[in-house]
Amino acid sequence: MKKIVSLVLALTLCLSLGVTAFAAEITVNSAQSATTTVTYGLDSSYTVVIPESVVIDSESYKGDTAVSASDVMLNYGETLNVTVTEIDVLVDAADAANTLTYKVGKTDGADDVTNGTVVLSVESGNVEGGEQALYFELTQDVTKAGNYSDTLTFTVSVD
Amino acid sequence: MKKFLSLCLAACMVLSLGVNAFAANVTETGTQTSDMTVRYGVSVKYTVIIPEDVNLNHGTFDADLSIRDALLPSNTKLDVSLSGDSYSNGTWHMTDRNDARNKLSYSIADAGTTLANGAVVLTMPAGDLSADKTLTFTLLDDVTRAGRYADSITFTVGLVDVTPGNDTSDDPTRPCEGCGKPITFDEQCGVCGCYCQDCCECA
Repeated sequence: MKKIVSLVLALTLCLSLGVTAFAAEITVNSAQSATTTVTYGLDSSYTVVIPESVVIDSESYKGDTAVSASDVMLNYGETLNVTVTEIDVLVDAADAANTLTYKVGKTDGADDVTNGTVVLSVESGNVEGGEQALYFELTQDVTKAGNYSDTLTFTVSVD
Repeated sequence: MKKFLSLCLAACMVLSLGVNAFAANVTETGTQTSDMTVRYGVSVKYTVIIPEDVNLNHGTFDADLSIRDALLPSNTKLDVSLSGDSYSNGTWHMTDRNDARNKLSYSIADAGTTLANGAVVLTMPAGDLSADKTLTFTLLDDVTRAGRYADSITFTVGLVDVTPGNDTSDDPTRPCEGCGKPITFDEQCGVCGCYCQDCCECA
């Protein structure tokens, strides 16, 4: 008898561990109605397009491209920011001492994009996102032939 | 039996501690970066202007050579050199078209320095956009016979690599017309200019 009781108590203890995970919560008030909670969860997501390269024309000394964001899903109060850094000088691939300076702007001829500039900003609620054109222009006379390049870094963050 | 039940109870107690941990939420944060390359390429270009005709009817003629709109690669220079088959015995020669035995000698000089076959007459380093040179042609012989005298000289444009360690522009060579071995300007005979010191038979 004692063994049977002990066995029953042990089984009961084992089964009671799952009660909280398995059982849904039901609230019954004095008017005999029940409340059910409806939820919907969505993680932040977005698509940002950064072109792999931009070419400055050898005759006009200008080039342009654009960065864009789309399908932007952010939590309330958040902002998607695209920041550019590592703007330096164009360096001749054959001679590191041979360089050309250039400027970057949000409009043709402007120089308002420098290291640390936020080139694109999309606020929560703007699902379509946006696009920002970038204009590149040489600011130095060319005196030597060659293939020059510089690499910019774009940082995408949700703030 | 008692031991078995005790073991079950202990196992259940251990497992119950982990239930809440498995149900916890996990959130990922961070930034992402992407690089973009800005490219600019410009090809080598230059324009060399060489006089088409030189007329020595007045005994002397100044001919202008020039380089314009030049974009040369870094660590290079543009050389314009002079050559011709008529050069011998230290002078150039025009030949009468009607009689090959009838010749007139003339000189080509740069600021008073006479130029021999193979001489570099104009040079311009990378970074410069233009250069100019005036060469003076001078008739050396008294004219004793009428005729139509002419000579053809060649100006050769060459891009020279002057990267430290690679520069050979100060030692341009040409084959000796006697034995064929490469000879520099300094090694060739100062009179005829076409032969090395060993092959030259100039007095």
